[in-house]
Amino acid sequence: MEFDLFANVSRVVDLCAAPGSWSQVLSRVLIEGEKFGRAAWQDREARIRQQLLAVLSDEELSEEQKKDVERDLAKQHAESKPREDVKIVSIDLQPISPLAGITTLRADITHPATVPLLLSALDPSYDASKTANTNQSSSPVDLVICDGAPDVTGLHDLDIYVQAQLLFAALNLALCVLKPGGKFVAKIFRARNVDILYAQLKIFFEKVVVAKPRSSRASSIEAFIVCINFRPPPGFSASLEEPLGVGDRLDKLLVERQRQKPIVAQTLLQDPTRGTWDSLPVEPYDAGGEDITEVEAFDETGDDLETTGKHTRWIAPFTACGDLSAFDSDASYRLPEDYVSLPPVQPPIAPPYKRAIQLRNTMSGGAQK
Amino acid sequence: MPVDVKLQRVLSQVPITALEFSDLPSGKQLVLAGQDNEIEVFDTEARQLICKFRIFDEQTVHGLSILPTAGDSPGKLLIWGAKLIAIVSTDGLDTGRVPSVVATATAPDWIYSGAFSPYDRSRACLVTAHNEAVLIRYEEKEGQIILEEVIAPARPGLYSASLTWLAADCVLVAAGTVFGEILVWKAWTGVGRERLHELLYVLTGHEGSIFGVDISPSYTIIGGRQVRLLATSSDDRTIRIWDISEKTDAIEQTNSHFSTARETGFGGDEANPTLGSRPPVALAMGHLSRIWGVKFSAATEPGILGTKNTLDIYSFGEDATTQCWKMEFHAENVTEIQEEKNILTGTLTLRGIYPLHEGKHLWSRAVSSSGNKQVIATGGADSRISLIEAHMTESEATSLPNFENASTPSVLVTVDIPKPSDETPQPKKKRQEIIGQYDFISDRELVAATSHGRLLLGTARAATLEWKEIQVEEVLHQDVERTYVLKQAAHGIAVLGATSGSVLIYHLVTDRLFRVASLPGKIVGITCLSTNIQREASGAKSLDILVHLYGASNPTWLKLSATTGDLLGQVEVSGLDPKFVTASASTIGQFLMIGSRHGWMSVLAPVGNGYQSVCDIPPRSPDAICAIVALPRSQDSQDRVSFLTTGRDGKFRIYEIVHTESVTNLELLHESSPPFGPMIEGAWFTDGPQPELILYGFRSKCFVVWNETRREERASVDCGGAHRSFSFLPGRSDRDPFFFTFTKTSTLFLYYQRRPMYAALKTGIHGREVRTMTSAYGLTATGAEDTTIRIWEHPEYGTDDAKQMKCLTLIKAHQGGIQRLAWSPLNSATDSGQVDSHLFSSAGSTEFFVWRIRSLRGGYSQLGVTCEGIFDETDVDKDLRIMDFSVQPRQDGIFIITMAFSNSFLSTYVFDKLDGFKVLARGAYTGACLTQVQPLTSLEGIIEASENEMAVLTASTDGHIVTWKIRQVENQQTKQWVLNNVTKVHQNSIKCLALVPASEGQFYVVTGGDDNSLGVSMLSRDIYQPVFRHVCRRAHAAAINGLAVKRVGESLVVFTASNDQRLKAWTVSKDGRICLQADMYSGVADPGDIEILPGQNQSVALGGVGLELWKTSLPG
Ligand SMILES: C[S@@+](CC[C@H](N)C(=O)[O-])C[C@H]1O[C@@H](n2cnc3c(N)ncnc32)[C@H](O)[C@@H]1O
Repeated sequence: MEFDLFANVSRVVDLCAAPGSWSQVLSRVLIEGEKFGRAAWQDREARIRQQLLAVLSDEELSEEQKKDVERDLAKQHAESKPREDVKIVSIDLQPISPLAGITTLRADITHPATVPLLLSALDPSYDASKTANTNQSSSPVDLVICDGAPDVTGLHDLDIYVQAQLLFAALNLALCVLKPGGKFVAKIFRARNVDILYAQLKIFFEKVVVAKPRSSRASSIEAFIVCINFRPPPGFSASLEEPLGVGDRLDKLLVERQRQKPIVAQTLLQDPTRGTWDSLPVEPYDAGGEDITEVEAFDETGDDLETTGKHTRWIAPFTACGDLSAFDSDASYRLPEDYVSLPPVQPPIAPPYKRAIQLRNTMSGGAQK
Repeated sequence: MPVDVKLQRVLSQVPITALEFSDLPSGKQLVLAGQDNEIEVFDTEARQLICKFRIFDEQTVHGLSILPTAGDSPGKLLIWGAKLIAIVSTDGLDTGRVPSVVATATAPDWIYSGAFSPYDRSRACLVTAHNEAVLIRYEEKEGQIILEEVIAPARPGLYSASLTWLAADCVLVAAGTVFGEILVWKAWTGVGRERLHELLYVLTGHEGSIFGVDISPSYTIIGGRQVRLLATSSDDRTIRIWDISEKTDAIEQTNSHFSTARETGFGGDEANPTLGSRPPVALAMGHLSRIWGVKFSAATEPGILGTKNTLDIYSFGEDATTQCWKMEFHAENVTEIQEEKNILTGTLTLRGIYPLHEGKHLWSRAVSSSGNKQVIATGGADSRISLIEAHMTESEATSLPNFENASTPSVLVTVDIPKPSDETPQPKKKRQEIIGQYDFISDRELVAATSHGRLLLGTARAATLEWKEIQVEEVLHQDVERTYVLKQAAHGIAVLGATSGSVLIYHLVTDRLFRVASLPGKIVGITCLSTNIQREASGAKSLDILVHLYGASNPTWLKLSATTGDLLGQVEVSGLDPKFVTASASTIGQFLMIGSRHGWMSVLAPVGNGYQSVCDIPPRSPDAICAIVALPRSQDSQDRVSFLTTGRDGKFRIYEIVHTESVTNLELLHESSPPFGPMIEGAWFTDGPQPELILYGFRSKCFVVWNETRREERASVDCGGAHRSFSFLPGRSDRDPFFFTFTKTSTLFLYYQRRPMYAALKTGIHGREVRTMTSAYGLTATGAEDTTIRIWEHPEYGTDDAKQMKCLTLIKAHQGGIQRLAWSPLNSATDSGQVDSHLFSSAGSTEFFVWRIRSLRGGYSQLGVTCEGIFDETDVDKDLRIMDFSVQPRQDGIFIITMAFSNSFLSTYVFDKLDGFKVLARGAYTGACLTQVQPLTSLEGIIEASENEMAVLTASTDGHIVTWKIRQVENQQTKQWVLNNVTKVHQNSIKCLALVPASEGQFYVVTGGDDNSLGVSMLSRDIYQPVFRHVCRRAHAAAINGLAVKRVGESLVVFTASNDQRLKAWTVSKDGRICLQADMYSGVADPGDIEILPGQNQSVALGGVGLELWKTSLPG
């Protein structure tokens, strides 16, 4: 499964955007009209090697196909043209250095004051006092991205929670500014209870997929959740008083949804010896071709499904994607010759303890001696 | 036959996430600790676990708060974890009676803090991560928790929060936001109130997220003014103290503060200061890391500072240290504040740093204050619980009225030289008299020689040294004046060596000083051989003393009477190299072992009437060998003799004397560095059936006593550093009281330690994630992100609870986090129960080590570890990582090692202790990172096939498993790995893999993927081609990081560990049918590996953030 995140997109909100590499990509694609073909290129490189080693024997790349690829690339470049009505708003706690054509805001996305801040950035005529109770943007966007990562503490429980809260804060903002049919992409930690999160996002979007950059060295738990076709439940509106992630609003919605649309497993397999039922819901799934036999595990744990409730969750289909990532960062590739790396848009963010260090240096005979 | 697998957790060592002291009416003090979903109860005096009980099914405990017993009303615990709340009765807790959870409830959001109301014992308040005050009522009769109401002025995301009850209907909340703003507000509860909340202060100034907030009790400071303080700690490395005392004009700007569009990130708008903000009372920079938490000393109200005008504050950082601060109010301001003119100011000064934990977090902390005694408890990411008794300075201690009985753990005082009595003739025009040589000769008596030729006997009493002058006969005056060395020879006996060549003895019991020998030369050193002389009479008949004369390498060995000190005879010592300068010596078995100032060692054997050097061991470093100590002996040491040396190179070593008719040599069994040094001055083993190794020496400015066996510091005394005279008299155990004297700027100091300042209620494990495990010979090795390798004894367990894991050794040599560990399949120890094998380890970049691991025979049950090989292939890019490796021993003791690299390359080496690594074969894959490599030609252990027929299997980040065969390339020495078969199993990275032989010339390849799925493929053994590939998608909700497989009959039992914190057991039948057998919650986050530990009841060890042991229902 590959995504073209930027198809039909011209208005974007980039949350947790510092130091700004995504914003830069957005600016190049949307404002300058470049095609973002870097990942495609690298993918092909790896493919060709695989072909050489006959790892993918079934997919010989003929001369003709190779030409096709070249032609596609050329076409992409030719097509480069700026889009119309482009709007990019980037928000982070840390200051983001200005980028041409991008509105940058310094704010905590979990803070209630950020909602009016964003709304007025999208629509200068917005007036919080007048539209007191509707936090709905009159000039919505096509895509909301959130690459937010908390300052990890090492207590996985807490880190996962804070990460989920960033996602909920982003979703809360998205609910205020996203067009129906819009897209939402956010970083998630694939860890404990991530299945609940998937199910909660399914309330608002038609399609929810976990995309894992082919390999991310940083952490094996980091991945992106890609949500396509925004369609909030009827009558739903974002609320400042009750942001998502707090209280049981989402849980109720989830229960509601499950009541309306019970999850029916496509295959119900009964274990002949025990008479227990497997009930993992099966979603249509891209198995990656070839003759791998997908098996459903028989559940012999004997748990009462009704009481544990643990199988009512839904695990989003997993996909390894090449588009969100650049390289397989686990591998130490040699870079292709014409590889152009994006220049860093701004110097490293000043660490919060920068002043502490300066202070320490000026304070002779400081505390730490 | 269907296999049925059940799992039961029997041991868990994961981060300690909650701590609280509980003082019982009986006077007993308990510590309650939250570990995973359980509470453990410890007795602080006995340092023992009393009981433990489960609170939540599948949720870690994050905090707890105690309501003490009052009259008939039993005490209660308020416990929370994520959104869950539980209330437990503490009735009978100290007797070990396991209390039951009386009620549970769920809050609307994650909870950061909570407390019972002191005004109404049935009510409590909790603060959530979205700045909400959640009020609950406990209905005793129904056993129910009622969520009464949720109050919040607004809901920004928080990083910390704290609360305190001000009145029956009012709670004060302090909340720290992600962007450095602190909100202080009141929540009003109950009927008839005018408003729900009142914002008091918005404190700004921190330049990073607020990780810790603590509200103080209401203190009365000088001038009688009541103040309430708030302490905060942050990512910006500062601790700030704020005055949040009541003020009449609350800022009523709640609405605009939260609803007006405004920027809220870092680097606030300095031109427009936030309303309700004020500067801190004091600010200090602590820790060189993020500061997770801060705490006031007195947790109980009301606090009265009295005349001291100071407060103790503790901070806890990512550097895993606790720091102790003194807060002192600026007096002028205190009086001025009475007139409400000025703001309160003060200073924070650092008073102590306690580095007691490993890892990056002290998750939980508690402070108990009673009278002058303050005890701090910390619980770490390393699952350790430490108790610290707060320091008292010398002046504070001496100002206490009843000093001798003071309860401070230690005292440090300076000692003056006594005035000479009238009879002693005053030498004229001499320089000021100072103490020259000195040494303890008993547990409190010290003999000292002054620069004026006086000999003194000091008797130490905690904080003083009482002097008495020793009568020196006229004829000995000259000798005493020229004393060059003074040492304890035995309990109550001191030996003095003078530049005149005289050897004098001072005998305490008879108070007699006499000459035992006059040697022809200047005495420059004395070494006492008799062991255990520091303590009472050892029962030995003679005292053995080596006297070293200037210019002579061979010492003079004097034998003295152990009871009177009189000379019995002399032993001839010969054969030492002329350049040999003795630094240490000891008799080990029948041998005399001497260590030199330049790192040499000489073994001397009895020859005729004397001792002769039979073997010289070249130095492992050019630094002095400070001490030689025999290892404790036991039944099974047989005729093996081992000893330990400490040196000025920061290391200690253990050797065994290898002695046959023709040769005598030393075999190095162990070499390692304790976390202090480089001056390791000495060592001893504690008494008892399980002797522990204690080392002492210097770390920068401090003298340190270190228990190496338990890896705990026992003392640390600021003495100015190494290179000074000192005398230290260790006790029998490492917790006994002891004295330590030292000279600093010509002054004598006396340090007395009643008891160690620290204690461990629970010993710790790795400070960061365990990434890899390997188990063999009853030993499990774990390698972690904290760069250390630990080897554990398999814990035995009965029907109920397992014991704690016992660590036999710790290896700290890698620079990066450990990636993979593997035991050699061969154990070459000849006697049963003993180990002599190899362990291989790889870590970040291309670090790879070969370790020899041996049982240390005798009374010391740790393991000996030496490094036998370091991978130093030069043509490998240092940025590469060795993702996995496989080891196959050959019959001749050589190892064939295949490494899988992150750049898709595969290399095989021949390793031999002497020649190191030689390349045998190389291969390259598509560019995808290889993650696994397993040999195919030795599924059963030792290599059977010749090197020309080798085959391996790899897995990689592209989800493929690949088989490789070795091929000879013409005219090339290095062979080549060629692809044999490529099979796709997973969508992306294969994170774990196991090979298991099946019947009929086939074998299973079980794989766990980053794509959450479990793969079972069957390959044929002849051509290594797949027979079938089965994949169970969504086997877990997150990546599968570890698996372990056991064959039971025709089926496989597979255990999988995933980031979703479920431990699952599966069975796989011959035809590839997969059944889920067990699905359990595990408290180990981010699991890295899983191992089956052989034994009576097969158990499974799970390592990640912590370790767990699970008993399985599989037969052994
Ligand atoms: C991984 S970085 C984002 C990198 C960025 N997408 C890029 O392409 O350069 C995560 C960011 O999340 C931001 N962040 C974390 N918590 C936040 C919050 N509550 N509000 C706003 N930003 C936050 C951090 O300041 C950090 O800059």
